[in-house]
Amino acid sequence: MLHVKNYRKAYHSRTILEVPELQLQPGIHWIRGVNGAGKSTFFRSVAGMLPFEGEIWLDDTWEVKRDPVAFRLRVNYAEAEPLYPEYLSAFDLISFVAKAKKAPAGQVNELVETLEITSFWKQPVGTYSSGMLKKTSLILGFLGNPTLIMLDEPLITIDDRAVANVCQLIDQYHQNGVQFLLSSHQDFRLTDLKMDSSYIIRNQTLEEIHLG
Amino acid sequence: MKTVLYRTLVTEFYRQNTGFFLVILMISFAIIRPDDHVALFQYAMSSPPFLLYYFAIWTLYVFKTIAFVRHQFRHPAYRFLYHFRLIPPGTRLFYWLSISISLLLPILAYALWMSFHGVRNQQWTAIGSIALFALGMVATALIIFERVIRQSNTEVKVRTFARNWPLPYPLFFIQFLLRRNAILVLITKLFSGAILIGVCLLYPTDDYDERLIAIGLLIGSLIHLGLTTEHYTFEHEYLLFVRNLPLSFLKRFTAHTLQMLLIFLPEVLLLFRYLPDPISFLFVVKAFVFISGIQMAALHRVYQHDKSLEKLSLYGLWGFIIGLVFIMFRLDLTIIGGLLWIYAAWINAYKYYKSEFQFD
Repeated sequence: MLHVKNYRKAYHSRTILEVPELQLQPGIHWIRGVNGAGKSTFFRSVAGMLPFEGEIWLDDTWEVKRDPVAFRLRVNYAEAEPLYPEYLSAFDLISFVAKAKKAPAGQVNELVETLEITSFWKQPVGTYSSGMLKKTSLILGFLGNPTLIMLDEPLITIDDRAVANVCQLIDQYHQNGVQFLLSSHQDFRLTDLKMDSSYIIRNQTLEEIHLG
Repeated sequence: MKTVLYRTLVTEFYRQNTGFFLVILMISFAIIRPDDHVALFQYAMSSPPFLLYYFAIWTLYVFKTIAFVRHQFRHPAYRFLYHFRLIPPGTRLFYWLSISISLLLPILAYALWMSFHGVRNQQWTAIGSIALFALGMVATALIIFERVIRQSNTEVKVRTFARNWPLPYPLFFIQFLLRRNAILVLITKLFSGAILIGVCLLYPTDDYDERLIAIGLLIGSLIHLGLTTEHYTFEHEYLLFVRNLPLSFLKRFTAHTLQMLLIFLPEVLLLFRYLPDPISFLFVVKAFVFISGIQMAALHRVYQHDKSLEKLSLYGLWGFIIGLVFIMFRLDLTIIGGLLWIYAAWINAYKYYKSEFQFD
């Protein structure tokens, strides 16, 4: 599903993460690592938001640099700590992303209702709590018809009911053929989600670890 | 605490405004000679009402520094600055005084220069007025900074009504400019508009040709480099998610073109209003291609090489020199502007996703 070749990301010439070879099979994958290990950097690279050395292929067909539009149409990403201009509303952001990601009719309303943002989504972001912001970011991550969705710390700052709804959404989308990369310091084994594999970022690289 | 405050308020102010200062310096000292400054302010000092023009410009600058400090305090990344409130009042006021003076240094230095010449000419009333105004500026800045920190619980003013239509993407940045950088926009437009009106009014007074207007356009556009810095940082700070969207070159470039149209709309309207009679209105189209071409090229240069953000002011200086040479050699504005647009299009098509804002 996802094939990473000779990946290297450096900031100010200092290597942050190096992944010589990685093949991710379809499924739900859990990426772990201490703060600053490079989880978000890896996710952002896969999402095409950061430049890097190497290649990232989706389904051995689309490469992030060679097929920028086709790749981004199929790979979604929700930020861990989203930051949006305070005068925009979730409605502005969601409408824009939904159009760009070619979201099917009705998907926006469905997500807005599932994550319960109907009451505030037309209000400016400047009035939101961190949980409301997080829900907005999660909705952006689910829009369109993606092959892969990456959710960075999807369970933080949201209430218990929203956690259950997000897990349900992940499960529902996965049953429809969407693959997931999730990062979290929380233990997914405590939720109803079934992880297919787990990886850890340490020593500036990504290693598979056994799910205990 | 002092180091943190200086880094986030003073150093960051000058870093973010290097383009603004260089363009101001370029206009103030490369185009207007130091002797002209002396002649102008000596006249102002002998005729106090004229001094009010200086005070008006300085007030705009004070507003600019105040807007920056408020902006920094309200930025989510800098909320920790409110801890400054815990420092004893005496020490805090001393820090504020030092920060105010550091931020107002360019105009305080200019005021000192004026006063130095005033002493020679024994213009005591004018010196007194300048000294009082300078003190007033420092005191105003200090008081407002203290108010900012005392109002840590004040909510950011956002509209309270629900808009039922989504804001189009090209307007995201325009809204950001108007809501978060209104003073920068105002100062930029005041300078740029004054220069354009000035060259248009000067044109019929002698045997000038279109090159005079073109020079005005060049300066007017280079003044906008401060907005280019804002454009780039806004995209990378608040709209990073856009880089995950499947937007084709055409969509990205169209959005940028619309933004340029909106940014330069005041200049286009001014040209329509003040364009001297012998010049065809077709010139306005050429002018738009030229001024927006400079902006597009500057923005895309930063996309191509992100470290160029620090050098934008230097590009402004070189841009002025090279642009002046082209204009003097009568190179058509459409050709210059067109080449700059082609450069921007090439970067947007092939290098856009390589852009990365690396904080120092």
